[in-house]
Amino acid sequence: MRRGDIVIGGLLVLLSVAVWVGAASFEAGTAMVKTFSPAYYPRFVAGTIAFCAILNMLRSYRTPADGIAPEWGNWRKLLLCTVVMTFQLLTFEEAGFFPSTWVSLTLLLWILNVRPVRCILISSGFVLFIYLFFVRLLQLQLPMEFFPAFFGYS
Amino acid sequence: MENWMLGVSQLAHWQPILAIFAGVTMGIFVGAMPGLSAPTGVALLIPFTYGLNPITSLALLLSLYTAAEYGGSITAITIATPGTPAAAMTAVDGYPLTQKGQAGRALRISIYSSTFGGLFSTIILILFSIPLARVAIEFGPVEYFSLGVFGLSIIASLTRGLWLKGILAALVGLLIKTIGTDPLTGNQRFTFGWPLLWDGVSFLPVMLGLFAISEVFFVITTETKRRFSETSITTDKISWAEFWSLRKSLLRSSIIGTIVGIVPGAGASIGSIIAYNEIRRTSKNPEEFGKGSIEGVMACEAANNATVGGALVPLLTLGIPGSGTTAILIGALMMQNIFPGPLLFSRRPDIVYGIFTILFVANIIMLGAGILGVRFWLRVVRVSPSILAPLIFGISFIGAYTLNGSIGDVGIMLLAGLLGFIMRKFNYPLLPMVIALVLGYMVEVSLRRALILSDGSFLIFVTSPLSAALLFITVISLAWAIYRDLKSPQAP
Repeated sequence: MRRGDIVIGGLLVLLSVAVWVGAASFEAGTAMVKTFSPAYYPRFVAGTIAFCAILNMLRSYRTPADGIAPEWGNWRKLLLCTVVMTFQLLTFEEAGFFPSTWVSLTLLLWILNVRPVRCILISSGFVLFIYLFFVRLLQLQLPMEFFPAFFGYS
Repeated sequence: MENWMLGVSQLAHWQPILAIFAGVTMGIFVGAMPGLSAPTGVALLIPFTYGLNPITSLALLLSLYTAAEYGGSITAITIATPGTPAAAMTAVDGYPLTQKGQAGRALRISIYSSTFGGLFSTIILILFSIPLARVAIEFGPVEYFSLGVFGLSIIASLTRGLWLKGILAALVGLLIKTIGTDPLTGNQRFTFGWPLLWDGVSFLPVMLGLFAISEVFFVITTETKRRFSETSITTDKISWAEFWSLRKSLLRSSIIGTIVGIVPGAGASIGSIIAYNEIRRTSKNPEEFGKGSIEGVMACEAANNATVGGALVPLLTLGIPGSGTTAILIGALMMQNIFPGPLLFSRRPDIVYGIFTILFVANIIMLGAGILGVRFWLRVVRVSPSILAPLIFGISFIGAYTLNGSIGDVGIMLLAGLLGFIMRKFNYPLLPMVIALVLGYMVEVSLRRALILSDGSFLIFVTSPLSAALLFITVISLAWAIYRDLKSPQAP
């Protein structure tokens, strides 16, 4: 955990520097002479992050190494599921709610070792529930067209 | 007495009673669904109330408002997916209780506390509307800033042994809230030219990511077959003796929630944060908080339902909305030719006392519906994590999307999920970040407005009595928490 804390601390210091530099472009209006400009508050927060991050790094450095590292578990499945989630994100508006959600949910269930028939049934039930509750009952807008760009919907 | 008879007689027809039942049922579902919450539910129902008479319309909307504040706790407790922003604090102790096989107890204390908080604030609304309204108008930027800082100070007490990591998490949360258009000057800050960031980072997608999606990632990587042992699943009820033993905390939480509700703009989320901190500070078992404390769940739920009555105080007496939902309710009232404000009590006592009666009845019906629903929700808890995790992702996806109809919010939710997962792996607490996201905007805007008023002088924060009192309590609370933490063994 000690190494992880030092790495995270270093990243936070870099973030603070980036925010400090980025805030330089925020223009202060003439009314801001005696009060905070748009850059002041983010810089104050960034400066405090850098201070606390360095403090935490020093604290971790002075603590004896415990040999404990984070357990990442089945990171390959995590990566695969993240790809599926990103797929749904990218196709939700392009392909439409029904195909995007159904395919993504089925894949996620299958990756998590749910039997194929159950995957299909659960995904179908979920999509139907969302359609009935969110779209029909609550009249919320979801992209309902099927591949709108391909089929030429306006 | 005459006015009371007038108010009660408004409900002596089947339409308002049916409207209350419908409002409570819809409210519980709306509150439980991530992405939907009381303001959304009320806004969606308003067009349907156009053809109804005023009392039936108010019965539907107020019942939904009341029940939605409770509904958010259900998914917060059972699947670590807060249905409403205010339920984020409920998840802190509610979900660990589920992991211990005590989902039934958590759900029951949630409904009992919510009902008590709601009834308590209704009584306060009835008895003290006018004098309490004067408190509401005392709050300016100076007091709002101090209230925000007080809310942030609880981070130190919530992160025992990890206060430095807690502060870092909170600071990152404050930084995230600076993304978007500067509220005072209109400058774009850290938007990188992306229109989806012009309005800043919405709280809901980040909350869903930090709580729900990070939990989904945990399930995926640990391949848990069952979230907890089958034998440990219980439908424990809360005994009357146990509930009675929490009466002081329950009352304190309800008072805090009511007062916070009265302050315009300080909604249920802030109420539950402050109540949670206060009850933890005075609890005989503070070490249980964050690990599955019934008292923690009770504090949040009593407070967030108590904000309902509190938020109606400035609405009815001054015509100022006390929360986002009451801001939408003003529209509903005006549609019915009812104009909230000082003259409402004298010109339309039937409406005012009708509202009081509706709130009483809605809370009682919500209690019944909540108790009946516990068995159903306990079935959800028994579902295999392999099935539940994708469904939680699916619901969160839809919830984040329907917030603004933007796929960008879903992207933010996924990034927040990744961030939450990494934070948990490296032992960074999530709660301080959530608190900072709730309070960050209010703190910055109030600070800058206060400094504009004082021409740049920070003394304004101590010359206001209310502000000075809040800051004094904040300093004492922070100093005590850090001192206590430094005395205890080092945390990893």
